[in-house]
Amino acid sequence: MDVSGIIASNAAKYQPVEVEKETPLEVDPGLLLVTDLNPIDQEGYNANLEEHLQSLARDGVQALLASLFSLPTQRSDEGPLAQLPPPTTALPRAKPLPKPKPPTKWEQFAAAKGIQHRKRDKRVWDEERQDWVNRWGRDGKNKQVEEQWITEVPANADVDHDPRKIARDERKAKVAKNEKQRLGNIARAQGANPRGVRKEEIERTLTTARISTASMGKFDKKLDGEKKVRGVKRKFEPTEKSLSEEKNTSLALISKMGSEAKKMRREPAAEESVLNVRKAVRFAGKTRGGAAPARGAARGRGRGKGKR
Amino acid sequence: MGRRAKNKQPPPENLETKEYSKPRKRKADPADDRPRPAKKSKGKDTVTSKTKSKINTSKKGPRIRFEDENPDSSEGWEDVRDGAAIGDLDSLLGDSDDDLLRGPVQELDFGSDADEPAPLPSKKSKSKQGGTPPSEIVPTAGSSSSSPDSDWDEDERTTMANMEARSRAMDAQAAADAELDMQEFQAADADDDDEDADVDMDRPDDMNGDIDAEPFQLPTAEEREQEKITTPDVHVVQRRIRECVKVLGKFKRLAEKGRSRSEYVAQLIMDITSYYGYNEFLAEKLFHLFSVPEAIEFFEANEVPRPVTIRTNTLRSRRRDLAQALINRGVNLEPIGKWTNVGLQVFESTVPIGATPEYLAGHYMLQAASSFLPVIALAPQPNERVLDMASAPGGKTTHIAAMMQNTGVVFANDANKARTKSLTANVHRLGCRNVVVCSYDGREFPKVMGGFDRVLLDAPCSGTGVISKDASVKTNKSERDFTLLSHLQKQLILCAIDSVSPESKTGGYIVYSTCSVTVDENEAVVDYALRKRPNVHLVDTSLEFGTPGFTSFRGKVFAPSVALTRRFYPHVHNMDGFFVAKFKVEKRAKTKKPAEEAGTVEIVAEDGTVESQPQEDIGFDSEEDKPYLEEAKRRRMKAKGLRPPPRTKAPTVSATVKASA
Amino acid sequence: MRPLTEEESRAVFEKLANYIGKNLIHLIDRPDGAYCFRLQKDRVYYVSEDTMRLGISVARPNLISLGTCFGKFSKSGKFKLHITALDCISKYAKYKVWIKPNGEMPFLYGNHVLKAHLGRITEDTPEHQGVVVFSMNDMPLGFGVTSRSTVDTRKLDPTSIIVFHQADVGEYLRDEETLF
Repeated sequence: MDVSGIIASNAAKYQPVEVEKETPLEVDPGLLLVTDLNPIDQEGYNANLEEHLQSLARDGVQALLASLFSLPTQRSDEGPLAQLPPPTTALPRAKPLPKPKPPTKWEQFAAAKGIQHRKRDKRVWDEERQDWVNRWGRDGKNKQVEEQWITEVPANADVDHDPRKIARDERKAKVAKNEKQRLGNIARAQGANPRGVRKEEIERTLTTARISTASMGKFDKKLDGEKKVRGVKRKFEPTEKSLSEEKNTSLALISKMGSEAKKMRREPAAEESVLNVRKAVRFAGKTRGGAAPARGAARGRGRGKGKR
Repeated sequence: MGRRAKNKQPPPENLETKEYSKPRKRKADPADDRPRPAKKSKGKDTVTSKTKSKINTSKKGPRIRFEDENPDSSEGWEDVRDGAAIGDLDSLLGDSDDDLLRGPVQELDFGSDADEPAPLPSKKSKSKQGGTPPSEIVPTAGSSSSSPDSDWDEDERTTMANMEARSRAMDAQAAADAELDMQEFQAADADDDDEDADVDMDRPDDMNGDIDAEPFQLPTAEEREQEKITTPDVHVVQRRIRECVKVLGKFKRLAEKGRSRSEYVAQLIMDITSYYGYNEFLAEKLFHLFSVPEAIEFFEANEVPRPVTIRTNTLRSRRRDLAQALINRGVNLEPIGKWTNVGLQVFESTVPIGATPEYLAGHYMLQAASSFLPVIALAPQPNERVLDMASAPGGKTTHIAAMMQNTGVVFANDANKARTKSLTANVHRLGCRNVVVCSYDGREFPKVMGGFDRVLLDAPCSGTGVISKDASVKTNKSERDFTLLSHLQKQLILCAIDSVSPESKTGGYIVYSTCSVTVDENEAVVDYALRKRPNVHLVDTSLEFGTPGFTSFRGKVFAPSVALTRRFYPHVHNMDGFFVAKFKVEKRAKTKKPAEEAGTVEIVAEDGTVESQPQEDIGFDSEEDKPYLEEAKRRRMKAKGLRPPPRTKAPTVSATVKASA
Repeated sequence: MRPLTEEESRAVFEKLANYIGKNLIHLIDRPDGAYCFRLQKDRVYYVSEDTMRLGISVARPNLISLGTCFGKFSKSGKFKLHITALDCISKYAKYKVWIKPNGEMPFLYGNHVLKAHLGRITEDTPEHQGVVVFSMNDMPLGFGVTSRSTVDTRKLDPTSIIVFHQADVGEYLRDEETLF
């Protein structure tokens, strides 16, 4: 059977699968992205914009599909799935770069003294075992004293002298100190004096305690030098500031109120005034037990406020 | 609704002016000239005292006016008494009968004979109103034609035609009577010097009166004591007052032998105390303000309420429109007089005048006629800064604001915080937007704020001018109250003066007013202010009526310019007793010279010797210092135990000390 | 005495806009000199610049009032318009109601305006709209809130309420103690 005629007619009907362009299209199947770097054809663009765009899009999609079919596939219940390669095009970052961390107290000191940062290995050489061991952590070198099976005790030691405990306490104290310094660094980074914060906290507690009596602290015995509890002093604008400024703020406020009012309350249309929509909705909601019509009506009226 | 309004203002009941003027209408009767000589004699009295004070002012002893005219009053004592006793029994009976028939005793016909027919035509009362100074309250035909809103008449004619006609008739009568009165009055004033002739002329009818009606006998001291214990008969007291007045009018002829003038006066004051219900102190104080018959008139006038008056709020309405609106509500009213173009007098009203919609909407203010006066005197101009030092309940403050047409600033101060509520309510009701209400003691004032163009000080006072409004004054004021009040007033007036900016372009005025008639709250305070602040002087109050203030009173001599102040009396002007003084503040440096000159003039008057030393140049004056040096020398010698030489120049020392002081 | 904060201004303006709508701008932006709102002891005063600047000299406990009092803030921060603001409101009012002479006194005693007393009303007044109540001779007597729109009032019977009473000039006498 000669199908060449049919093929020819089909070929005439359909455009070629291969896309030929002056500059070849850049395809990034990882992102399903096609980039057409060719300059725009002025004539075609001006003659018929729709057609022009359509042809461009068709070329792009054709190129993408062609590349997809060249990818390795994987079988699945819903048919073969193409395995996309990792994307090659670098996309811009969605979020800004993080700010650099504020330097810790040590970093500040080191910078001031010109001390170079010296990277310390995590592991150290153990002469006895003839092996590299962790400096800290699991089987860490710092636990060596606590864990060795025999320890020298000084001659004048107490009865309850426990060298393991001493060593452990020393180690734990270091950890605690480090943790404290870390927290201090964090607090300092947030810009608050940790001592001040603590003081405030204490004072707040004290004030609360003071007024937590039946008489709100009115008839309590006062200590020597005890300060009066002061409330928050409100701040107002000065009475004698320039009036033109005040006028402008007032006018701005009024115009703001006006626009808000427009947003909030639209004048109800003529036909709406006949039907009490709210009541109708409530009625419908009761009988059918559905919230959907109510929501729809509310959207229709443009008055989405109020509980429902 | 009207309850609170009542608290603030006089009750809106109508005053029939006839009622009030009854005691005086007979005085006006040309046939009966009894009170005239009395008035004149008062005039003479004051004149003589004035001249005396001018002649020898060095004599500072207290002079009592009525003491020095009875050297030989005890002649013919017996005869008079007998004759009276014989002739008077039936007339006395008739008199008392008459009184009983007439019902409760209300007034004294002190000027008339006892059996004169009581119902004189009531027009007369009106005429009295129109004729003598009260014409300012009830306008005459002449006044209304020339007043600024002469359109009033046309307005009235359409709405209340009959009333217009009636009042026209009255006005005509009033005008005629006024003419007569005025002539008489002037004549009386004119012939002060030919007093004797006048007395002679008086004699005949007085003789008649005496013979057929009055066997009057002054009670003795014991009788008086007894009467104090028992309650005296009203009719007896009334009659005794009448007689005492008569006797004191012509003391030489009518007095009993052996009784002094002071006895009569004491009796009269005691009777006033019991008859009108004053305490003795106040009765005496008020009594000495006037001549004897006038004093009785004053006491009598305090028994009747003053007319209800309202003030149009020009910020909201015009007098014509307001009057029209009120007439439509059934209020019967008329303009007060040509001296004010905002006042209306209410005769009668079918609605409570303090609760009409017009009142609530702030078209008018219920306000006594007298309280217009200080504001008129103050004459605030637009765009000024004005202080009203004691302003509650705000009648005057709102008047000031209205006169300034809501421009400038009015500070309304009142020491009493509770009273500022009604003040604020009135300020807002009348739509005064330029008022700042504050509550300070007035004496703090120049410290709080100074630099005012005008200050109105309506000082807290004893209220002796408004006894008709508040009768409790009669009994609850003592000497101590007066001392304290005048002290406070003196402090306040100095503060008021200091609050005024002398640099003010348009103003620099202070108006001092009280609703009291006593001298120590008025003239004395004004005189004190003049002495304490040399840069202040009195100016004309621009009120075209009112009696000039006293320049001397019972031994006290005030600056001659005190005559520029104005007094208002209930019995003369038919408004509350009131006092208004207007000061002008000059710059200090400018006024120094004239003040010192005035000082030298005084020295001349005191010493009787002409010693006018110009004290302008500052420096050592050996002549002047000599006495001081000598005095110091004497003291030194004394201290050493030596005997100093006899003092020779002592009087000059004291004189110079006085001068420098 | 101090200027209003933003929330306070908003409360005041909202209340005023109820009666005078857009004319509120004319209160703030006046051609005849600068005016401002000031708060003193919970009361809001509308006062000209000169008066305000002089009033600053008066100490706070001694200052009772200055300019025109517009109303007061309740303890819960709501603003209540007082009758003293009637002057300004009546001048700029958008919707007005005139009542007959026989209705004046009942209204001045604090009652609502009945249909029988209604003389005139501004056309197309909406429901629940702030209105100023006038007497027939154009004297402002107070203000209130309409109960029905102008169109709906036609169907009502004479004893039904047209305007809910908010404030009237009778309060000058009735509430003198609490008003200031």
